[in-house]
Amino acid sequence: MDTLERVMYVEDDDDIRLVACMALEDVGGLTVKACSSGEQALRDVEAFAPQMFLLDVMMPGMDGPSTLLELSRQGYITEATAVAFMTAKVHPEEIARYKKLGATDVIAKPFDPMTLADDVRSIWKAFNGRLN
Amino acid sequence: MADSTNPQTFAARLEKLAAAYSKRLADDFSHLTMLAGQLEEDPSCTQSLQQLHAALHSLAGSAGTFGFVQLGRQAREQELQVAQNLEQSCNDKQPLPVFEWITALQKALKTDESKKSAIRIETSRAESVGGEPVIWLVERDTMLAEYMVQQLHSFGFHIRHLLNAKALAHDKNSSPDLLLIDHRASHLEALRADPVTFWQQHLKDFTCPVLFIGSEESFTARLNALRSGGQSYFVKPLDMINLASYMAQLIKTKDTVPERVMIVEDDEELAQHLQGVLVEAGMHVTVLDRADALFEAMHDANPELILMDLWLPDVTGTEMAALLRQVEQWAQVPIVYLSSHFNSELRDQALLKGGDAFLEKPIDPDLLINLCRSRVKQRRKLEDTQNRDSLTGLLKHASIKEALDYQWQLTQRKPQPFSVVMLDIDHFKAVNDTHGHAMGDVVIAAVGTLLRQRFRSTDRLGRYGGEEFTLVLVDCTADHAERMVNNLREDFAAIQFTGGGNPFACTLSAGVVDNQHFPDDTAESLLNRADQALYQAKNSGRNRVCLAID
Repeated sequence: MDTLERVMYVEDDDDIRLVACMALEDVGGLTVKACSSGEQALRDVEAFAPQMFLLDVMMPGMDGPSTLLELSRQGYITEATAVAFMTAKVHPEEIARYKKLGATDVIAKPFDPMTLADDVRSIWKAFNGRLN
Repeated sequence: MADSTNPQTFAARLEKLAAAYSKRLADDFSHLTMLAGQLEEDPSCTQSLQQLHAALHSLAGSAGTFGFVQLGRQAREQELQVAQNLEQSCNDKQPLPVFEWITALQKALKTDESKKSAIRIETSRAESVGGEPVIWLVERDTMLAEYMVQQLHSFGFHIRHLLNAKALAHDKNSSPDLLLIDHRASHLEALRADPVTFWQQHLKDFTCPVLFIGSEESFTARLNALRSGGQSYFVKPLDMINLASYMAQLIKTKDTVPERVMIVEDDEELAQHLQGVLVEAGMHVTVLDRADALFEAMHDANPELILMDLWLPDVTGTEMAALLRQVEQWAQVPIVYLSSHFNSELRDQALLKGGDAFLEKPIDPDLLINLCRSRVKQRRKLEDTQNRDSLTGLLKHASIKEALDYQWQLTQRKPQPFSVVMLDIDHFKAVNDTHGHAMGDVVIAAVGTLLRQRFRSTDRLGRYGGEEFTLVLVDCTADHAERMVNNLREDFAAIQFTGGGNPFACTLSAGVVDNQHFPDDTAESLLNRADQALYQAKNSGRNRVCLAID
């Protein structure tokens, strides 16, 4: 399996975006492209070519699910791309709904900055395990 | 985890972001207040409700990340209520109490702010109710009980007062960490007739330690207390400081620092087996299979006990032991020999040459575990008596300096914040002059008790000399240290000392520094900075905590 390096992260809250980037870059050693909206993600996705997307669910304008749908429609989500939604702790049926939309897994908000990178990496690992 | 991590700067940056976030919260609150006003005028205004929902959602999703856990939870609950309200048809809508909600959010924020240090730093207070050990006091004299509650509270105990023995039976749902009982705490004839049976009956459902108090200073009273299941008997009038110190010792969560054991054994399978047994028992075990790496291994693992195979390739266990005994640092480490051939002459030889015990293979796992535990415990006790100041139970001057150096060395290899605190009793000379040296000792002992009660087992607490104390707080920034020492300062000021019938109180001053603000400092210069900050606290009016500045 490829090592996870490039993560595109879409989140409208500036403070949370900052702390998550720090957690993913400093603690996780990942390369992160942070976007403040779904629209920005669609503009930057081509140049960055992420292996994994982290999407906030509730955002003004395009929300997480519609960003994912649009990314899929434009062909940026292949079977090697992992997608995680970031949202409040949700019911199992809600998680099932997100997975139907094409999400690999869900990361609960509020997240712990110390463990976020590990969570992301373990989702990546599980996702690749499933492929083999 | 990437190797490029520098947790020190990461933690520091996180701290900065959290500080920026709490500034932003002020804006969030004024935004919420504006929305509350709009909704007061028009409770079913969908646009305001949607904005309120979005604001609460963002708060719920972010607050916890920055350590504002209660605030986030509170916001989440409110968010769900707004969502429900948005789904209802216009006729069913109840106006939402948004102003009350904001008050609740602000209260939650206050709680978080006061707890923020406690979340990062579990002091001994973070264990039960609000972190304080819970004591039940059974005492008929309400005046005395009130005084005891107040005094013991200063030492960080949470006291619940029960009027008599009967009250013990009422609460089956909770249990105390310790019971403090007046041995005459009942009018019942049964108590007078047979106190021992009476108390055994009343205490049979309790597993915590029990202390009896009473006004009789007699052998019978003490023996009865012992037979009733008491650990000790304190005579009234109570010496509160002594009592608090004793209670703190009893409750102190058992020493959970794992025993460090090194196995020197060339038979790989056996070594692994022994390692498995000891690790299972909660010990920290290293295995050495090459005799010539002995000194490096000792240095890295710093074991408190060695299991030594008697026959290693090219060298005997007794030779290994003799080599260790030549190095002062390791001369005292207990050595237990493992041998497959039993031969009493051999055993005696081995024990004479520096071994402490002798185990025959096949080794009984339970015996091995118990032997290791008891030897390490003995060893730690001995070290304690050598390194601790008898009056306060804190580390002696040399040992606290050593602990500071060790911590500093550690963070050179693996960055981690730690704080150094210098602490001093204000106007201590006046206490000695006014109330006598014996009373001065009581005040010093009280600081020791308070410190041991308040800080974690990983923190190093020392009596630097006279009335001066030094603390090395591990994984703790100066801000957190300042908060904790300030709490300690307030509690200390509340303790009533009784010298020759004149009650008096004392205060503390302290200086605090951490290694993050002064990354280039040596251990020695950090200590000096803490000392300068203490000096500043003294100079600016005493009874305060100052942070070291550039």
